[in-house]
Amino acid sequence: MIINLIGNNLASWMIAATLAPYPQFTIQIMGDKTTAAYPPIQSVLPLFKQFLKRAKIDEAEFSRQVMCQPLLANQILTQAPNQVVNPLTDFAHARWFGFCQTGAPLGPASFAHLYSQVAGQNTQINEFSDYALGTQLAKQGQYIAPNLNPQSILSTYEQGYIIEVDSFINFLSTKLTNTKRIQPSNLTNTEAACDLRIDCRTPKRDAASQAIQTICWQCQPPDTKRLKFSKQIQLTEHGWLLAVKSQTEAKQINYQLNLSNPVELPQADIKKLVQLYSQCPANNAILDKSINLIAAVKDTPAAFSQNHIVLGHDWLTANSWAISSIDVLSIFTTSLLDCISLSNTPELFEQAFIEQYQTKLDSLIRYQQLLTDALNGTSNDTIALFLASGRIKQLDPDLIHPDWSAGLLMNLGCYPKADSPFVSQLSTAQILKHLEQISLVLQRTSQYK
Amino acid sequence: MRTVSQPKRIKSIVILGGGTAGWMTAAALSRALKPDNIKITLIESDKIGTVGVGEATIPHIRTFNAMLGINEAEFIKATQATYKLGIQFCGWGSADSDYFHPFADFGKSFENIEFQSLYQKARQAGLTLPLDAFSTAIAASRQNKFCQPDTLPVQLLNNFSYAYHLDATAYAQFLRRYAEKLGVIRIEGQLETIQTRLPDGHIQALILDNQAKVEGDLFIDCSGFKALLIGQHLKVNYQNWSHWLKCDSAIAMQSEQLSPLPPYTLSTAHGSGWFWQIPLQNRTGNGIVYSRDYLSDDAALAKLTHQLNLTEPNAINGPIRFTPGMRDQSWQKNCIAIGLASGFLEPLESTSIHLIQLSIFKLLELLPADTQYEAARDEFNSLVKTEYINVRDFIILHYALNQRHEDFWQACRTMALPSSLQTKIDLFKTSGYLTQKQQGLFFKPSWQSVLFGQGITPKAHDPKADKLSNQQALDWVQTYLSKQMQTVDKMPLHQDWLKQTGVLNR
Repeated sequence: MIINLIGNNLASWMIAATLAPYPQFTIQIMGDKTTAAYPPIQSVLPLFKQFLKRAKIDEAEFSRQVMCQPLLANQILTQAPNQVVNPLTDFAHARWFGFCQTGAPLGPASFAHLYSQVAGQNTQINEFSDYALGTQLAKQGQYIAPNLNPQSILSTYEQGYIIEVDSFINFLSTKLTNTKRIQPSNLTNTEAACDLRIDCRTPKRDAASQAIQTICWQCQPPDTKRLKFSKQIQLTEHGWLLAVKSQTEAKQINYQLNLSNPVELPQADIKKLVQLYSQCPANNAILDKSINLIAAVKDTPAAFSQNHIVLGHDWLTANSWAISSIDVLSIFTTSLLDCISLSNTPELFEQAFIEQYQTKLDSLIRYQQLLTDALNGTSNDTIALFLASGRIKQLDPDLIHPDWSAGLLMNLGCYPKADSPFVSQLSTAQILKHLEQISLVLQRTSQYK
Repeated sequence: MRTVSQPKRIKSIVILGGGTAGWMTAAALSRALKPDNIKITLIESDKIGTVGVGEATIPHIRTFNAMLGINEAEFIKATQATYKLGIQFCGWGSADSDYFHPFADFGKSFENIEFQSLYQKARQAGLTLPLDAFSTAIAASRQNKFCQPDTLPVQLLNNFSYAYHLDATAYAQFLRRYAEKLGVIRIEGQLETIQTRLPDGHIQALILDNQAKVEGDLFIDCSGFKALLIGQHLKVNYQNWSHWLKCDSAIAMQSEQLSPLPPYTLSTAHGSGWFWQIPLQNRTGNGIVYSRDYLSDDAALAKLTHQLNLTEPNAINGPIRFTPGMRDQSWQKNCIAIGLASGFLEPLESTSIHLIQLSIFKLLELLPADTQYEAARDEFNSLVKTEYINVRDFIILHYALNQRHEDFWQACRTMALPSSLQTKIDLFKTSGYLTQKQQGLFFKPSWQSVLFGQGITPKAHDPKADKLSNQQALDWVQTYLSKQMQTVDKMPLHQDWLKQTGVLNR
């Protein structure tokens, strides 16, 4: 089976990597390496492990070869309008949430309910995120690899990654020695013929997309400990600001500011913004690039015709704090692999693939929407149900564990209605003792490191 | 001026109806709630019998029992239970077909290649065995053997689960003792009238035939097919699915216990429906399910009697009438229907107790503190509906895929299917592809067992499997088979396992 991937970029290399374990597939990447149309540093959700597994890439090898660091938690910095928060010093403003289970239920009472009950009683208790091992480790700049043993406390969290994209592409292209690279000028009729053609090229902007100007820069602040194993998100008056480090011990911080105003800024204004948000010593900041990205603003699923998939805009998630291009591509590639048995019947392939890909994507979009709505104080079905019952509305499939969504909401102050039927039969003292025991266990575990 | 009801704290839950649904609900609520916090009352009448023929279960019941903290040995002894590794289907598909639906996976995948594709390739290399030869649970079932999967060495084929066959009436009594010990109040009586609250029309109290008035904040309708609260009183529409599930009647009949004791339910198709055979420790539960459009009650009774090699009927329950379908909403106002009052598909695949259990678990997850529960209600209704539809499609599959010549079966074969199911069948036929959900009852192995078992062979296999040659695939499945045989050889007979573990009542 010959599969042609049109475009030489992150998407084509990730798709090629997923298909590479099957030598009966001939993979051809066609085209010159194109200018990146995605952020150079990306944070990826734990579902990335599925991509590694499908591509038969050893996670340890990936960690060694690619410039990356494990991601245990997100920090969101909130502030009054027009006030710039120094992400490296204004810790009190940070709200942490990760990919973890927080606390533990007490009988039928969920931990979110238990916490809500005592939090409303002026009791001195820790922040909600302090009852989750994953976020607590990230707060302390510590790392212990999660494991899968359900008996272990280390199974209560998962990890994503912060990845330098160029390094990732280099890793894949070095590893995939059997993948053919074909320059457009060398295309012959034979090579152009294929069983499946996937167009990975960056699409032109259309009515279903919007332009996002993204400014990426680096600087070297005095203390970067707080960005170990976490990423910072700040909603500023100019747009989303993300701060990450591509490697644990890196001295530089990579910033990405997605401007909410679609008007392209002149270079002088860009420099001002870099200075404003860097909070670094003067002239320390190095402007990396200002790139114009395209982001889908409504559902624009990948398009199909006879044996031809056009990747579309979906994966260019430029204005998302939660979802990266790599996340979307992970879903795309795993869905492709699952449905490839249908590739001889394009209509059925399209039907099955779209269903699988879109429903998975929907679960990521909901995660993104939860934060936006929680920050804006607006409600949606999921938030309404959580406030009423402490439960996260069930999606199938849901790539975001309900505990992660619950953690996000709780840490942003969306508490379920206190006085749940299961909690009201417990005394405050019982609940506080339970919280204390959890703290003790977490403390011992993090000290064990 | 419009009156707006203030949310009222839920202090009292009333369950209408005993039986399996009622007592399972009561037991679960009493486990989670202290009686001084929320009072739980169950109303039932000794004058009203229970359907009580849902005697076969699926593995999820173990989660339910574990949630209650029930000791498995005590439970087995109290309910005359035996173990169940799956269901054998005879005569489904074609009149001479014979396959199993196990609570187990088939074979073992190779790297990222699923076993189904390896099996398909192995057939191209000359393999003639059916798919269900590659299941530890089925191999054990065919030899009437059983042991719990976790007692097998980890390296061996620990890839199956189990459920129980049980006396449903005894299970309800067992749960009654459990629930009453935890403070559930049982009131004897039959519902006479219902008092509603103005202006919202919520149920306020149930007035019984002995004039007792039972007030509550939340009412659970476990009144069975009558659906006294959700159907008769609140008039929630019942979606009728009998155009897809044509059987509408059942007759149950008991017979002597079987020896050797099979660790599986037997489902045998007949010209207008099917028979069930459920082995308990002290007897065997049998029954016939049929469509009155194709078979009269008398003829059904005669058919069942003949099937059991009896000269005359024995200990009959029925005919039991049912309409396959479900309520538009299982939770309406302050009434939640659980069990038959909420919906019923049919006895095939033993899903009745599972659907009860699902509703109970979702209720516990979403149990509101007060009467302001719209979000919880909507989520509950959505989850219950989704699961009913999933189960419905799976059951229809058994009827739709057949090559039998009788009128009943021809009608099943030619009926228009729900589009969700038709798509699934088309995808599988073309390529062997099966959609996979994270939630729900029936996963890939269940669909594989019925699709392959009832004669569907996919036209193509997953091209990923072409990493191996047909011969390599054949070697892989044969190696698996030989390990499986070694494993099953070491397993004891089902009956011996019950003896060894001290749960056999005889």
